[in-house]
Amino acid sequence: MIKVTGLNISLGGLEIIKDITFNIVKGEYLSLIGPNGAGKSTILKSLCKIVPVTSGSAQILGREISGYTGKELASKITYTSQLPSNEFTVKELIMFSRYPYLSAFSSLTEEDRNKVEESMKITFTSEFAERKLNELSSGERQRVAVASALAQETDIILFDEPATHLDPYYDSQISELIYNVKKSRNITVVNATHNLNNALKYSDRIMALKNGRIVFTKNANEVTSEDMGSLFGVGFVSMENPVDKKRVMIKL
Amino acid sequence: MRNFSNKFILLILLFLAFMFINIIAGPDLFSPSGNSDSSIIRDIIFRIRLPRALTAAIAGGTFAICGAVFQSLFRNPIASPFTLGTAGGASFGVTVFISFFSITSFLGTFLTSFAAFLGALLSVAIVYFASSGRRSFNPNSMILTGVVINFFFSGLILLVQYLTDQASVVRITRWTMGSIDLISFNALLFISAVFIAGLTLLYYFRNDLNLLSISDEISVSRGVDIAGTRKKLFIISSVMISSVVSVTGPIGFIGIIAPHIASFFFGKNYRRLLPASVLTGSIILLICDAISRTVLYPAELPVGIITAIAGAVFFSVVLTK
Repeated sequence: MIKVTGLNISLGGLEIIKDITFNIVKGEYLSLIGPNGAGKSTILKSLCKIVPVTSGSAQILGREISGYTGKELASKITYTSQLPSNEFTVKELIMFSRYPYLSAFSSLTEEDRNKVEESMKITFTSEFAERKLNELSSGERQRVAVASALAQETDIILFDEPATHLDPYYDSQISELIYNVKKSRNITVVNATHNLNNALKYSDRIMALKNGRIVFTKNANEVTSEDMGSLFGVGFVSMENPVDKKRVMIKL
Repeated sequence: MRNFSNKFILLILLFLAFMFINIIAGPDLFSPSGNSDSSIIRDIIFRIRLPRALTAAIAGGTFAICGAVFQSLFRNPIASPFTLGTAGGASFGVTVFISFFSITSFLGTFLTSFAAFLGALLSVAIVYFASSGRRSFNPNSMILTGVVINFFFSGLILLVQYLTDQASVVRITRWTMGSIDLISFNALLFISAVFIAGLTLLYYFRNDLNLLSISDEISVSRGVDIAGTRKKLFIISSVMISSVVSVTGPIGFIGIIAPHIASFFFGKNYRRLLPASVLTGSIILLICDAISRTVLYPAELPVGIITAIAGAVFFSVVLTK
């Protein structure tokens, strides 16, 4: 699905990503963790051509990303981070996600509208569909960001901190939602996050980055508290959540 | 859909009303001095007033729609063909041209526009490269570069005026004040053709304009080819601005104000904002033109003076609110 080989990215003369190689298979949920400035966002952005690749190869569905047109690539993969403030309504903004499927003078079809409605429904954003983005709380805006990613109907979604700014209720709702949509639509998810326990709970594999290099890539259930400790430079203890029997890690 | 279609009908009715007012305004019609002969009135209406009203509508619409486009491209509420130096570049092109050639024939109009276009393109190119630097496109530094470019071209225009002969100086000065004088049928045909083609093309980019007005990141994620689209939009706007500027001179402020008024009533979605800006810009210039023709009668005030003063007042009111 995603195949990255020997990827290097320099921005403004600074080496951000250094010789990174990884593979993600269809339907996988991979979490990307690491300290601030490790290069998580840069990798995700480069896969959507938001940030140019300096050298190395990045393939989506067996084809080099440089060979895709913008619209082609946007029907396969999308990148979602915090939405900037703007004066569009929630519904308008989510409708813009249908851009890859619009041509010349065509307007939105019934199918497009249905996809938009469905995405709003499952992200609990329908109730403020007609409000403007700059009138929303940051948590509401975050859910709109997820809704617009879903409305784009791509095979791969790259999330950059999807659950930041969310209260515990919507944090679970959105994390649960991403997991369920991934399963039901069989899409591939890459999730850059600082929420280590969500990463342990939902992802198949965890890839850890530091200073632009991969520190480890492990199945989520094989990651130890020592791994986390050396990655972040602060102690962790690992224990079992008594309710769902999943492992959690607590920062000491 | 929040009654947008009703609002559009109202806006179109307003537009038609101001077309009508613009055509009949001014003391030449129905005056007691014996102009009651219906054939003379018909001549005045169809040969003088109607072409003039159409020119005002097209010029206002062009400045407004290009302003709306620039506000998306630069994500800046005061971006316009004037703040960015595009109109300044076009003016320079025209200044150089009219200090050497006459511009009455159809070919003359076309060549003046072409000179304006070269000037506009020069300014866009300078803004584009000066502000791109090592990093990618940065809307804020482009605005600053635009301001500098404006000063630069103003200086060059003064230089040309200083070097050229007396008659040209008068023509250039009069032209740079911005006015909608009697223009030839050929010139009207030319700017109409460019206008209609430009509107169609810009409407084609309405979805791109929506996304570009949010952020580069969102635009690329949704599949917009941002570099290519920006270039195309710059070229289309420059051609439209050049064709109008070559005929009417630089008429400031409409490009900033009309899109703001339009978005107040129609929202930020370019599907509606583009046509609404065009109509709003046309209406504003029709009003200003009618005023310019009547306020100092029998003398006529260049319309650019009115739009600049009215625009500055309006803008300060909006800013301080």
